[in-house]
Amino acid sequence: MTDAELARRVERLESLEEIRQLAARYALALDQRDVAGLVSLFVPDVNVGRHGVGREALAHWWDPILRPYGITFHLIGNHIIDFIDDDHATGVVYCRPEHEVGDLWIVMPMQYWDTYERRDGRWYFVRREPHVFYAADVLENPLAVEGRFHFPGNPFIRQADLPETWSTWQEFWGRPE
Amino acid sequence: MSDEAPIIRRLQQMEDREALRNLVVRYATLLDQRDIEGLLGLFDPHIRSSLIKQGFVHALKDVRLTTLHVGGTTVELDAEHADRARGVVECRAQIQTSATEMVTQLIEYHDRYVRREGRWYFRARDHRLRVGVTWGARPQQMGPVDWPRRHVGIEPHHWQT
Repeated sequence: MTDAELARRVERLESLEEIRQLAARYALALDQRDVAGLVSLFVPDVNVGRHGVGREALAHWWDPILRPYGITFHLIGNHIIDFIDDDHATGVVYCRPEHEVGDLWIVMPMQYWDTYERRDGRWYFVRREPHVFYAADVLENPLAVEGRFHFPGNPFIRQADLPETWSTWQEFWGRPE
Repeated sequence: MSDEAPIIRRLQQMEDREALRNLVVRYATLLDQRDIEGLLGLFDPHIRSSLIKQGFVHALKDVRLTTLHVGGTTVELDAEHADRARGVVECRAQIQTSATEMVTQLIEYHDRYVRREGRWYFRARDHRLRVGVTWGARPQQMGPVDWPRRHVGIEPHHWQT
């Protein structure tokens, strides 16, 4: 094996580890309300849609999103990472966040659909897209909740879209027995 | 492989562990998506047809929404056979068993893995339901585990440790 091949294999392992760290740090930064830490995980020219471009714009967008809850705890799992090339990857991360919302305790199992990019030797999020299985108070049966979504005052996420969003899900249930 | 430098062997083992963790979490996501081709593709090509015959795909019609959240994952590479490994995977699942019923399950998968032509696959997954509980109830009220006949239950206290 050449040194170049060896270096490339080690580098791939390092990339995987670094991308996993991004997801772990994101969850922790959310729970700590560390907005500066949160936005530092994104590429400097992160696209915040109509709110602009860049980490400052992202921080500005995040601020009101993080206020309607008391304690939060974002428990992540199932991190899948697919490389497009040496500097680009996509991923899926499960999360089971719990939120103190007044007297309610809202649990919202979900996935993040991620895009990652390496810039100047460091990996960052390009974007994170949340997709939600359900949201309900911890004492509520989520199936008894309208649209499987009960999260009063959430300014960002307003509906449950998994598993119905997946084309594989629709195909599976459309199949004959 | 044995003629390779120790450093390469260590690297290879890191890559193997990485690939096996990846396999385990992919299973969870593909199952939740009901991506049947993707899911079967994670199993040893030699056992796929018997898996289907045993009703693996059919059983997925018994439940609706599922979320399998994988936690602790042990990986034991086989010291004698570089293409074999074992592991135990902990999983906290939520499973919709009817229009109105959502159960929570604590599952252990006792896995055997095999590498074929450079790719790792499940050679066997032993699904052990340790606890299954209906919404708002305590596991102790659920009676004994009898999976897959029942989605709820609690295992007997049989561990020697």
